[in-house]
Amino acid sequence: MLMAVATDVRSWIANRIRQDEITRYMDGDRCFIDDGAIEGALERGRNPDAGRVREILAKSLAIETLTLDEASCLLHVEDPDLQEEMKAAAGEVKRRVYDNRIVTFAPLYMANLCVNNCVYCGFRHENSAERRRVLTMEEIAEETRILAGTIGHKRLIVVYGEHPASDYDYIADSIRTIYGVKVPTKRGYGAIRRVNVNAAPMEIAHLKVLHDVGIGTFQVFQETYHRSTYERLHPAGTIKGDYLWRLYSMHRALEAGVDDVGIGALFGLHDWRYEVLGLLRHAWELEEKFGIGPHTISFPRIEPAANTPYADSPEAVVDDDSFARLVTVLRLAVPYTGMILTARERGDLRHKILPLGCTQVDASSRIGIGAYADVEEKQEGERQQFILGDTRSLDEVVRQLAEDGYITSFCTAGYRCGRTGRKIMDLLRSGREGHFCKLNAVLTFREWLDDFAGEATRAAGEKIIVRELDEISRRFPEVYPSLLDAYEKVAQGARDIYF
Amino acid sequence: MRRWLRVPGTSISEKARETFSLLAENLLRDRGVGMELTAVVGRRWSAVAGPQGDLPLASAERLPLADGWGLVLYGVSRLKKTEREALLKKVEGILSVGPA
Repeated sequence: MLMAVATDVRSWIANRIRQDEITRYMDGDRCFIDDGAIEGALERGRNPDAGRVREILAKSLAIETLTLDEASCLLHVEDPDLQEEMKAAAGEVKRRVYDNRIVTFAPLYMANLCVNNCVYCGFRHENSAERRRVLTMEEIAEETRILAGTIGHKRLIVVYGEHPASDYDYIADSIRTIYGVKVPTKRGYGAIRRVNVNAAPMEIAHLKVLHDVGIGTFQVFQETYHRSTYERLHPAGTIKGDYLWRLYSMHRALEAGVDDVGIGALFGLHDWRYEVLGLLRHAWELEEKFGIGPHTISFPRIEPAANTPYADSPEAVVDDDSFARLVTVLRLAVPYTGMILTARERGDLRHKILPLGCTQVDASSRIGIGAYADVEEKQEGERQQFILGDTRSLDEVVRQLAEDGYITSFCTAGYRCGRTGRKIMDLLRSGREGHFCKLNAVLTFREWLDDFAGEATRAAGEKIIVRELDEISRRFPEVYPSLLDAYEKVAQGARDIYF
Repeated sequence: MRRWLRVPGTSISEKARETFSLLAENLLRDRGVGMELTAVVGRRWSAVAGPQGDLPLASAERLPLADGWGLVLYGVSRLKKTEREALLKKVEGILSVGPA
């Protein structure tokens, strides 16, 4: 029996990669990540002239994607005053595109079985310290009831290891289960309205299945764009060892009709400047081939994981100062994209990094398999991919955001009313999407304050609502009566009303 | 530069797409109503065709059509019922041309 299972897994692995779904996007045998081009840009960007840097900042402020050479100049700015100018410009870019909204979400880890053996990952196949588990549909429903009904999240990123037990059909079933949960709350009901997926690369036919169940964004992180580093850290013979299969994940997703895609790199594996240019090159490739850039960019740093020595001392450590610099340059280089700052980072650091242009944060995060249903709140390395740096509750995070002048948005309207792909990119560039989201942020924040907020958070949130309504009445008088009408309905218990 | 994906997840002729976009441009210019043609797959309404540039900042109304299509209208309350019905007929006429 065990031998049969092992054979099945081997057979599944052997049939996972479809070469034709890699080569069809390539220019002969050349992929879009050209080591020489990136290294050349990095070399040319050294010792940038201040005047040139300011010209580049003006381009970012016009919400235009930067070239590799331009981003490289910014990556090499060492003058502290100029760095401060860059940070201010990054914050301004974010305000122009996304205003003062921050979107919140929670990760939900479904399974930690994995056939791969990545040296930095707690889920790697050979890590005998990891306690393996795949959530049942009833367990997923229970996790969702807590996330949507107790904490108040509307948006999830669901995460799966690469294994036949959590293949595309399991992923599709789990998403249907999540969307099926509706929980009564104080004034209305709680439900997850957008399920984003972080999973292994898939073939187009399987991505179409996920598309059909209504996923939000499909995320695959390249981990490192530096090919020889990639090949060293992801053993040959594993699925993940195939650099190109992973690199073209987003091409396949877009071809499957999933028009919101998320890219990312795991910082700490290779030089951070190289990875920033790799992400930028990836964004350009998608814009050029599909007319659609990444919906989000993620920039996690490697964190300690149980029984994973590499993660304790990665070879290209990114310190906090460099982290702030890379976030700043990403914001300036791809001005329209959402930027995700996760609870891997410490709370105090997230507070400092957020104003550099981030748009999404997670909160109340638990990344153990089945951890939301646990009474015990402490982290357990043996069932997590890594250890979190910020374990604050959503209520605490929302309160701090409100005190800092941000409105927390639980808006998930875009993908349900045609503001996706190229359309949303254009609307983001012009600032119009920010206007829609400003209205929707007020409505969804009202919902959340009424259903979930603690007393102190509610008090801080009410001040934000008053300020936002006042601003909307002045900036958008033509739509203000409709907003007030919708706002009253929400205050009376109506839910999921949006512009 | 080669584009791999012209219309995400759907098939519609280029002529139908252009005709729809022209109709949407005129509607936006003349009546201030935004109209996007979308492909509806599950919960996702993906943009397929519509006017260039910004949509009016107004309530979004979703209208499912046949064969997996949907219309999203912004500020549709500016249209009378008869105008709305006439608009829908035009859209259905454009879509009835069939796939590319």
